[in-house]
Amino acid sequence: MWAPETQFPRSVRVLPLARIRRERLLTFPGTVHVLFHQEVTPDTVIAESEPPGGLTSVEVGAYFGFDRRRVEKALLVQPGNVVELDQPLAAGRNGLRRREVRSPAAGVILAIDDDGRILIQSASRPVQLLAGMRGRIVNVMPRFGAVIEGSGALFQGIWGNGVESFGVLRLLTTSADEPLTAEQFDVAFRGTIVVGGATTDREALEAARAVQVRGLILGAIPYELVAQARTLAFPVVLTEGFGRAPIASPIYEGIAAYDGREALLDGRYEVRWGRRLPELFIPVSQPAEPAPEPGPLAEGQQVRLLAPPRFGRVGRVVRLAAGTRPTESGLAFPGCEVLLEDGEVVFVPYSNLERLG
Amino acid sequence: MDATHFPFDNRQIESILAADIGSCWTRVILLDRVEGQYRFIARSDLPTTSEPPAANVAAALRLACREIEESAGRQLVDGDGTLISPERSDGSGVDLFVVTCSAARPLDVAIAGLAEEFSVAGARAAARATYSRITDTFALDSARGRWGSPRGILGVVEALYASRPQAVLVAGGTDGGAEAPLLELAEALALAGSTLPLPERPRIVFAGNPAVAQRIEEVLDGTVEYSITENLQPAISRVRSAPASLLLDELYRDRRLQRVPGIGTVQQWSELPILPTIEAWSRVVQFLALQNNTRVLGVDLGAANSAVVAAFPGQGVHTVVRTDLGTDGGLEGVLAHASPPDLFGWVPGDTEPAVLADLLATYRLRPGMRPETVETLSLLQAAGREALRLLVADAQPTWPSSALATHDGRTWPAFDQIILGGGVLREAPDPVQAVLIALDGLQPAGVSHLLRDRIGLVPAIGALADAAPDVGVSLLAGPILESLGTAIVPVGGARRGDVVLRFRMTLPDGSGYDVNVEHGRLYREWLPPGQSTKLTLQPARGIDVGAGPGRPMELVVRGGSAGLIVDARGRPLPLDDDLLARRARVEEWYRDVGA
Repeated sequence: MWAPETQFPRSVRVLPLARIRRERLLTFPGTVHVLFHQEVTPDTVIAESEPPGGLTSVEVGAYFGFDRRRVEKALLVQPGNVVELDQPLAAGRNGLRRREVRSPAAGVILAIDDDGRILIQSASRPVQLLAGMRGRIVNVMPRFGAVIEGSGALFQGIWGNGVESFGVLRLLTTSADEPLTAEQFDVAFRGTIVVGGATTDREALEAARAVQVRGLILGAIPYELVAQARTLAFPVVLTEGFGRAPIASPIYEGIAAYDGREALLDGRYEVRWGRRLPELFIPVSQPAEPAPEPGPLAEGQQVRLLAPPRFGRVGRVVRLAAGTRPTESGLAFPGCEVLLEDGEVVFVPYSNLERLG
Repeated sequence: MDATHFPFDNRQIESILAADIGSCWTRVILLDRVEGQYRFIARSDLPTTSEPPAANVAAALRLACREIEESAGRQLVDGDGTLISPERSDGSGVDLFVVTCSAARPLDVAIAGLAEEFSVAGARAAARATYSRITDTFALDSARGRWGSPRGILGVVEALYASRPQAVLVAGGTDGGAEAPLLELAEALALAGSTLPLPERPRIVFAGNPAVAQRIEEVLDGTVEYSITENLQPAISRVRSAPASLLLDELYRDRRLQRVPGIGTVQQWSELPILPTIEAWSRVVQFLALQNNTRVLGVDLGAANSAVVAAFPGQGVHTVVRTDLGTDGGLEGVLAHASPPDLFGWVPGDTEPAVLADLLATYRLRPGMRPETVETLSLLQAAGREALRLLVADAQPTWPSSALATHDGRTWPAFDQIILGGGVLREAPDPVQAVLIALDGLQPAGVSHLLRDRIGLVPAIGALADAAPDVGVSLLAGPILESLGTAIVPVGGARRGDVVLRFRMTLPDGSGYDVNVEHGRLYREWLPPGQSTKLTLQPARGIDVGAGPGRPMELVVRGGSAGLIVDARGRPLPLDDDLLARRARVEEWYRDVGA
């Protein structure tokens, strides 16, 4: 029996060693410095751009406590002026002391309002995009970047806090289902990407911040910690979702094999409109086979179950088109049969599984 | 296009393929003309393929066609994957292919106006009539400072630089009213535009005082693109949001809908333009209101977007779309806007709210997941209730008083017909569940006939409205919409246990029984689909069922799969602050109606 749902299955890449292609793209167009077939190292500059600088406002009137007339006299700049960092923008006497307001950025004065607020657009700063891996350029995207092919391991997560960083991988928990606690962090973890377990708490996230880790990989965190995780300057990547769930065994074991190796943890993700998953990439120098093309769902493939009552369980597809069957909710869905790691065979709707591989 | 080859021009349409491409699901329906009537033949629901690995919405469409081919035994797509149209003599292909779509990213819109309560509210309503996301609100009279920022007009420039919307809708200044603040705002918009790269500069839609329009053009000219349209608020008591909505809708189609991956291929298959799904809903709801001279409410509770469309005889159509509320991709908005007791109080059992929040948030990460357990189903239905409650709160100010029942200084939706669509409502395994989601979320008052778009055909009928209106009318006349039954909701001051309404139910054999409706309870009476019965409703003093407080009402009510539901729980619903007490009361209500 043919099942259309098997053609484009939900997938997460779990590649312990493969020849991997990775896109390195600027967010703002610029100049690409690499050529097709060029060999690159992690430090190779792929592309550069100069995105417009940010806006900064300076409250001159409020600083001096001046009214409009006095603000006008105190101003040393006009809209359109180019200013340097620390250049005086206004000067005046407040009581006996003469004071100055200096520019917090180099840039252009955009506007000054009647209350003495100065709006400055910072000068654009060049942004360099590094290769981040050893490999060969296999595609150049004019003005934006390139696709690099190289050997490495790639593990995708499901949620990230939007931050990207390099660091050395360190396993902090002894198993995938152990929670990560504040007591486990010490200064030895400074600069490392910590691989934790099933969940964590507010204190552990603070401890990670305090010892200045370079990243955190966990199975899940409670949803109530999302706001806190988004304030962290290092990437936090979850492999399963929210709540408590061990990192799926193929991912945990795959990452554990690289304990102590340099890795790139990218916590940027999008759920919709250009879906993108957060990922851990570990460059390696040994040659590897090309990563298999995703293709349709097939028997024998490893899958993860996504919904209660079996959230997070891992197994293999043993019977692909198992028809449409009712579930406890009263709704019936098309699905397949999966052999779980404990030997149980269960029916799983196609919509509630994810291929790992 | 050569008119002589237009397939539906003076030609009988024998078969129709209708596709609704949603953000999560692509639904394809095959209709055929059998003995002069259009009949539903087959349907396929598949995950939308706008994201990688396919990144092409046509991929799911082709798979759906193939699935329908297998079930209907009829070829729809040729060897190179193109839809066969018109229908061939061997029965392959279809005469007409119509497409609706809500899979596009919403248009990012900032709104600006002079008065929070008037022009800004009008601009917000205009923006929400299409698939938009309001990124910023700038009100001159904002409590947070001039233009909504402690940094005044320069705060507008900074905010627009950070959020980078595609459009800024400017309203304010009645005809002949304020001018200077609008010019100040225009200067700021031009300045904000100048700080951004050209492709990221917003289009300014000016719908304010026409006396200042020319000077606004002079300020904006050469820096940002702009459109000048009719004043959204020509007088304090008049709001005319349609022209501004239309401009935003055009922008949405151009900058968002046309850029859905693969939509160009789909468009090539259809000779009709791809219609935003909500536009199709709007056409159907408006048609039903005009045809039956009734107040009609359409509810599309989608995965990523939710919308209500209200139409009233002679008073046009009012649409509110929330692109941040839904029962899948839109769950994050529900989690952000609904309080935990409001949301999780609807879920029976003793699972901790934090655990339920984890589950909902995890669902949102993987669009298209389905509920396997009763608890997950209840949780998604709870999210649907809260999405509806938030939607109605937005929509009510745009409705005329004829669609509102007033009690104790608050208003409640009063519609003769309510059409329910969207995944959670369509798929509720028990029709009573769909009725309860609607009653709990919308909290209507009076007497309403509830219908459900079980097949998902409303978008197709709307899409057919221009090219083949007879087909749409013919479909609506058939059993395409499932009658859930009639809901009677008495409102007025009463204490729990007071009898607020009396009526007699008559059975098909002529016998009957009296129903004494007590305040605080839900009732379900047997009245199956296809049957109707005449009722004389006798409300208690001060209680209103639609004819006025204490006034009796004679009417014929229609049956349905859920029967006749009397909701005497009161308005607003008496929901306890304590989560456990609230859940206990909700379970009691479910038991009342056997849900």
